[in-house]
Amino acid sequence: VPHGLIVRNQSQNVLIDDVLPVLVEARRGVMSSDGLVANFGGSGYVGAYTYQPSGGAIVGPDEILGFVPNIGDWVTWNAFSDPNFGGGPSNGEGIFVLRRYCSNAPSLPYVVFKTRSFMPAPTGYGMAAFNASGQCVWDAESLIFSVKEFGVITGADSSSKFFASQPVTAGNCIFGDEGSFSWWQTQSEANFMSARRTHQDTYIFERRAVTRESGGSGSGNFQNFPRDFRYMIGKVQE
Amino acid sequence: MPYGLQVTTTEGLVITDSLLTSQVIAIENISGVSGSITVTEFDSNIGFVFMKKNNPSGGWSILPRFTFNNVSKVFDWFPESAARASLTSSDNTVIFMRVL
Repeated sequence: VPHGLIVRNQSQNVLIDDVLPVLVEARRGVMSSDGLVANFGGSGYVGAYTYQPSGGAIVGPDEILGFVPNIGDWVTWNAFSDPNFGGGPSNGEGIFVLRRYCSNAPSLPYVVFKTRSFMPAPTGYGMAAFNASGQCVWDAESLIFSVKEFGVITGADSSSKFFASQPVTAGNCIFGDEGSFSWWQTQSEANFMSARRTHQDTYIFERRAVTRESGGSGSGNFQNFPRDFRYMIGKVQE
Repeated sequence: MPYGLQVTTTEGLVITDSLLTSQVIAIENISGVSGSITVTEFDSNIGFVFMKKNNPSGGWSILPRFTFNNVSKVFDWFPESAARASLTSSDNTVIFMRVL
């Protein structure tokens, strides 16, 4: 470089420079559930607490919301409601409105990551790098977010093959694809992808089912949609 | 320490080689259920695309699917299917990251 800063690792990948901002932890908290989808008693079904972002969990365009569920807990993204299912809400159908996130837990720890350049300049000790516009792109005080693993779990076209369970050992916070979703496997069930934290740094992706929230007994449109689930696992300080 | 910098962070003394940062290449707001943009700086071989909805209460819309051509550097997004177009979120943000 003619001037400025570049830090590379042994593989020659750029870790820090004075151009691109890193992602850092901006805030964290615990979301409380705003509802519960009850288990309707079907064998193998589960209830789910529903979540809508509020307070600090509402993220801006440059922010990413990740979850740090407790060990043993699972979280899902965008368990999707089809408002047209069975004729729509007017006749009691189309009621799989599971909100944006679901979990087996009544509270869900979260962490928000933000582009460092959109945060105030550091005021403490240590080293920092700034871009040409005077924005801090990295500093030693901020908790750096690092992607430990990412990938795509490919959807399939039958209930038996939906999403393969896939353990991922990499980090302690999880980011899901908000486009991941369920389909109506039967008249009374919605399926969706979830990530369950089995150990400190291990998640397993698996299919979850939630029974109908209430009402309706329509004929049900068997619909399935191949869908890829994109995931990202990162590491943050706990 | 064989090379590089050592930095004392809130996690203690860290060699920069092991920092494993994730840098943001670009943040793009995309509107509509389909479209394309060009992100010349992004390399999908060492990067990851994260798409999210801008409407925090839009729990029952689904994200468009997308592809990135690493040669032309064109990012395309489109509905899951034609039948799902009306249920596809049309106000989204895409974050292009370098993660390796």
